[in-house]
Order: sequence, then C-alpha cells, then structure tokens
Amino acid sequence: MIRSLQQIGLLTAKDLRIEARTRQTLGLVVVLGILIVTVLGLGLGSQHQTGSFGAPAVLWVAYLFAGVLCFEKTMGLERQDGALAGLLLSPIDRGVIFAGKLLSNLVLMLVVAAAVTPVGVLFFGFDLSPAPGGFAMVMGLGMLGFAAVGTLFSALVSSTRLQGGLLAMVVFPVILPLVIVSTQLLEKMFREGRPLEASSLAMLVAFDAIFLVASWLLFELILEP
Amino acid sequence: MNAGQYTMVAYVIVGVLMWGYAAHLFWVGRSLKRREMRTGEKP
Amino acid sequence: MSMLRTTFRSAYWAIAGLSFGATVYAVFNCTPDEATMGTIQKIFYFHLPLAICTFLSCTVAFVGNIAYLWQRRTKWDDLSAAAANVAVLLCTGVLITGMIWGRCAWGQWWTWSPRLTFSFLLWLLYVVYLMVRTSVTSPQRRAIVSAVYGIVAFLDVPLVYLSASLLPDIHPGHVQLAPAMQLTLAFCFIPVTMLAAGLIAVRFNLNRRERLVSDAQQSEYAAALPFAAVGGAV
Repeated sequence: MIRSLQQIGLLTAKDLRIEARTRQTLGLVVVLGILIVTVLGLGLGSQHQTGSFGAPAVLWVAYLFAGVLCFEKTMGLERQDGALAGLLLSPIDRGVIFAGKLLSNLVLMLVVAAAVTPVGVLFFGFDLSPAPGGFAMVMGLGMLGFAAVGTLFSALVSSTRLQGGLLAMVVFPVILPLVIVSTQLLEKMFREGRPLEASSLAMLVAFDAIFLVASWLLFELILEP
Repeated sequence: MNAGQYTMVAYVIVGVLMWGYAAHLFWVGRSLKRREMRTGEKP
Repeated sequence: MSMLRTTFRSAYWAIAGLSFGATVYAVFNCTPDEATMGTIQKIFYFHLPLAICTFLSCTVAFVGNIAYLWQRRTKWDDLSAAAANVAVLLCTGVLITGMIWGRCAWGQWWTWSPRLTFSFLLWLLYVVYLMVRTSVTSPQRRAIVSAVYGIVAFLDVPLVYLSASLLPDIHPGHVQLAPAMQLTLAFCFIPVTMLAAGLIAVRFNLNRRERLVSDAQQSEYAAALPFAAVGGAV
C-alpha cells in the first residue's frame, strides 16, 4: 500500500516536474480558459442578459475546453519518444499509473481554475461572499470527476492515428451530470441563499466515486504503447 | 395545426423512422450479398 | 438459408408490421380521449414503449461491451454496434414524440425539464458512441475504444437521470389510465419491442457478414502482395 502511494507520488512528481521545466501546457490552457470566459462575457454579460448567475455555467465551459486540451497534452507527453512503452514495461501496476496521471491532471486543472475563476467571477459580477467555501467545494468535486473521466479517455484516444477533437466529444456527454448538479447546487446556494445541504453534496461525491472507480478499473484494459 | 394533426404527424414520423430503418437494412443486406458473391464467401 | 429460418423471419416481420398497424388503429379509434390533455395524450401510447425499448437496447449494448472486454470476441463488438444503432433510432423517436407532446400540451418545443433533458442526454451519449466508431479505423482499436466508452456511457445513464431530476419541472406528475387505455398501452409494446429486437438482430447479422467479407478481402489483398511487389520491381 505504502509502496503504491510512493509510486503514485513519483509519477505525479515526474509529470509536474516536466511541466515546470517545459511549461508547454499550463500557459496555453490558462490563456484558453481566460479567452473563453472573455468571449462569453462579451456576448452575454455585457448586455446583462444572464446576470451574475451565468458565471458558474461559463466557468464550466471554460474548464471543459481548457481541461480537454490539458489532458490531451499531458497524455501526448507519454507518446513522445516512447515514454509510455517504458512506463508499461516497468513493474508498476496500471492502476498506479492511472492514479499518478489523475493527480497530475488534477493539480494542473486546479491551477487553471485558480487562474480562470477570478476572471469569470469578476466579469460576471458574481458575488462569492455568501458561501465561498461551498463554491470551492462544489467546483472542486466537479473537477475531480472531470479529471477522472478525462484521464481515462485521454489514454483511450491518444493514439496518433485518431482524429483530433475526439477527446472533447467523448468526455462532454459523460460529464454533463456533474455540470448539471454543480450548476444547480450553486444556483440554490447563491440565488436562493440556502446553505449547502449534505444530501446534495453526497450526490456529487457519489458521482465522483462512480467515475473514479470505473475509470480506475477500465484504465487497465486500454493502455497500449 | 390542431392537436389531432400533431398526433398523427408524430405517429407518421415514428413509423417512418422504424420502418425506414428496416428498409435501409434490407437494402444494405442486398448489396452485401452481392459483395459476398464476388469475394466468394458464399456460393 | 434454411426454409425454417426464412419462414420464421417473414412471419416475424409480418406480425410486427400487422401489429404496428393494428395498434395505431386501436390508438386512434378504440381509446377514449384523456380528460385534461385531449387528443395529444395519444402520443403517450408509443412514447412509453419507445422509451423502454431505448433503455433495453442500451442495456444490450452494455452487455456486449462488457463481454467484448472480457472475451475479446468480435461478435460482441458487432452486437454492441447494432444495439447502439437501434438505441439512437428509438431515442430519436422518443425525443420527437416528446417534443411534439410538449408543443401541444405546454406550448413549447423545448424546455430543460428533467424528462426531456434526460432523453436528449441519452441520445447524445449514444450518438457519440456511433461517432467514436466511425472515427477509429483499426478494427481492434475501434472495438476496445467503443467498448470502454460504451461502459462509461451506460454507467452514466443513472447519473444523468438523477442530475436531470434536479432541474425545475413544469410537467405534471403521473396520469391515471383507464382500463381501455392500459390495455392499448400494453398492446403497443408488442410492435415496438418486436421492431427493436428485430432491427438489432438484423443489424447484428449484417455486421457479422460485413466483417467476414472485409476479412476475406483483406486476405485476398495480402495474398496478392508478393506478386504485386515482384511486378513492381520488374
């Protein structure tokens, strides 16, 4: 158990170290997220069409597109120079590879969220003060499920023989329940002022658990050099 | 269009979808049979 | 093909067609108009069987996906593809009848209500399944990719249902059905289920035959390759 955790830590550290040294993913993805928020903000917010409550949905759109790009690039790293083959030959359990990849993707996504969320909140005048912790928890849980499914599918479709845009197509329909639940929860919390109920949060946690377990189990079957 | 006409349109659409697909599969089967005879899979 | 099988198939499709016609007739002539909604409620007689059969087709596809990942035999991949095709077809019917119902009963073609949203997301999930299949060229890779996606998509269905139930609903609850209506509804299941099962079976068969033909063509090309190389060199 400890050994697996150590291995996961090593893999995650490796990915993040590569990212820190080459800086090829993060800048692109953050700028993409900010651009998406800007476009939607100009289209929707400037004319007060949706008001401030469009912010969670707009943020989700930004996370989804930026996240898909991020997952494609991190899995693309593995394809370069046969790195994936090397990883598969080593005596590491495939589930550990999944966990390592998931954690590094999650860290990157959290950095992106930290950069893009203030921009979105600002542009839409979304007042976070009633429940900032609740907001962070709901979005964080949503992002966890998104990262799990995204990591699984990025491994699935990352072969260079496949068309581009496939990852976005497979991830989006699957992830929509998370988007629905988190936007509905946030609307209840901020528009109606109700505190976050345990049962609603439990639904989000249950969704994440299902995604995590399914992705973990299926990851074994799909990885090929 | 009143409700009765909408209902009939709905049924027509459903019928066309199901039976149209069945007809489509029938034609696909026909052209497949021709391909099979050419490659010698079936005598 | 044996005489028994051809007669069975002809009989099957004849019964499906006749019962389809009979149920449509029964719906329009033998059932009373519902009190609150009037004629448009008659859409329900096909809407519900279509929805149930959609879900059954999705289940068949799921079973095929799991079986493929377990046994790696191509017939399971063919079955999943066939079932997914029929699921999309039936779901299109569910969506269209649901939208027409909404237009007549509540004046809107579309609302983000639980049931419509659920139907639409289900439709999307399986349309993407079909798109995935067309996007991958290698047969083995396609089978694995679509199997994994198919499993995740099916597991997602209850999640979609639960999350859609959070959306605000303008539709009223369940309507009580009179005995004549219940009988007609039960009767309507026959043609729809026969069509669904029959279409899956036919599509499955076509997929199998198509795979055999393309395998035969591949081996023909492979056998001809040495001669082509020699011819090219000369």
